[in-house]
Amino acid sequence: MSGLRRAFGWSLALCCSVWLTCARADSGLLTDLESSHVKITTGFTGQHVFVFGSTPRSGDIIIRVTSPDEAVALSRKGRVGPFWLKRGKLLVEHVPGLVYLLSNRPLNQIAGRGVLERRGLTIHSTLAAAQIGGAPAAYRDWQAAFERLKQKQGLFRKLEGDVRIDGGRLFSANFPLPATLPVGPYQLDVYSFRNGELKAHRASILQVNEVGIERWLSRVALQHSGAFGVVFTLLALALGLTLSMLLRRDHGRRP
Amino acid sequence: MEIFLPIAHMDVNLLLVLVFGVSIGGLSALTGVGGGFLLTPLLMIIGVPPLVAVGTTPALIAGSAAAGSYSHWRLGNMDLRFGLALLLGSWSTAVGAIYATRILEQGGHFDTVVVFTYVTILGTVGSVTFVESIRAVFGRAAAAGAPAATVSTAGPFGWLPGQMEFKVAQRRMSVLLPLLLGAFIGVLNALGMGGGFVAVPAMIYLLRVPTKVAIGTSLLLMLATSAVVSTMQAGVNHSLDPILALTLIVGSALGAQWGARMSSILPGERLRLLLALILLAVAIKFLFGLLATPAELYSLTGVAP
Repeated sequence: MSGLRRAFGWSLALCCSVWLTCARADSGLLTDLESSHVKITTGFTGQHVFVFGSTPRSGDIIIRVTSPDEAVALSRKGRVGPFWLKRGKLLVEHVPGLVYLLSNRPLNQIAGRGVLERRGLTIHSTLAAAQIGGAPAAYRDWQAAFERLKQKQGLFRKLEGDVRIDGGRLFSANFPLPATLPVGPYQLDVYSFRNGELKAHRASILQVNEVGIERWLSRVALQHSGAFGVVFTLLALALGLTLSMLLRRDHGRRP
Repeated sequence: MEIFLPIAHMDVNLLLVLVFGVSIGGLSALTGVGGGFLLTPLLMIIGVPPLVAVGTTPALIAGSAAAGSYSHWRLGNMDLRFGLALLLGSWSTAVGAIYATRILEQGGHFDTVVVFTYVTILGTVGSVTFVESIRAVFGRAAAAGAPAATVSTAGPFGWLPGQMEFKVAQRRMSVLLPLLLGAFIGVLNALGMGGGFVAVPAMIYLLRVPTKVAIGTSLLLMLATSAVVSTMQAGVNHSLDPILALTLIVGSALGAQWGARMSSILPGERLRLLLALILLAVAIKFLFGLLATPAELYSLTGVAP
């Protein structure tokens, strides 16, 4: 009984000291974004985001970028006679559309696997809350396929070595976001590590939105879809008719 | 030059999409058949989600059919009564098919249905057109015999109820025939295939409608069916991408002018052979996709919020 109490006391003390260290270090970690808004315009083909900051003492930096949770459908092909057809479809929910992990050197050299996983600093652990609907028999296969496809689309990425550290205390990273990125407020977390231990954490928000005509079009098409359908179809008819008449007249005038 | 598509949520090369539009417009002016069946697969190949490809094509068909039907209407090539019967058929099935699309997409079977329909329809129409045009190219006598043979087989439809006079088409037939043909076209149109490439030969060879009236009435059918499908795809399935559609309509209008000039140079049977080869190529491409062992068994698709 006393052994249990002692263990409890020790862990409480440990927690306090960790909390104090974190709190103290936190005041020393400074981060900023060159621009906190990614604007999707008509000519949008993806964008680079520049993050920078400083740490009180030299160490390692891990930056995690996550987009809001979303739901996607995951399907699997199977053989039906001579044909390959989609045979199963599952809903994957509560999973970020995009997860980027940036670091100054390979993640497994910065801290132990347990530490990283507890903080959600591996691709796999950021998906802890994900639910693959229907709990399929080969759950692991579906999960692995999901991660593989997301990586192939460039939406789940580990960019080890993309964080630059200058003079031990200044860090910066310039990472590319693809054109097919999800929209919404992104969470950007910067973690400072020293000798495999987490020293500080700072969070900021990166807004990703359509702007201008793109914003207007997607809002009208999704929120007033009925009216949009009627008006756009009439526009298509009018445009087709007008263009053909204009072009024909031009053609006729030519000798 | 890249442009971002707000509904497909991806960037595409604007020039490439314009080239697609020009090719489709050129092809339809050359062969008299709209290019919906070709456009939907082309869009899917460049990565547009199947639902958006299928939802955007009808807007282009409506736009280009509007141009064509106006001139055919002025020339008096449209049988309005016949067209109305076709439309009653196509509207009823198209509306059903759009709701079915939504259910199929949610169940994950939409791609399968699209691919099977494409292989079957394009393969059949492609083969028939291929044989017919090869005969026409290598011997005019055989070509002249082909429609004559179908004329005699049209007789069995005489017992059907609802016989009606279609003045412009110069035919008396059961109203059930255009209703049924329209119903079939409606399904094709809702699947992003237009349907003109089935409607025109069916009217000429099966229902013995004069060629000019068949083309004019088919344009009216395409115009009115696609307009309804396009409206509903936007309203029900949120799958009409406005930027993609506008770019395609502009490209197609340019291509149609070029195609119209080219068609006076190239002989008709060679054009039909070209069309047959394109139809068969698309069918084989889809068939190959069904038969080949896929490199990746799994696939991800977005879910509408």
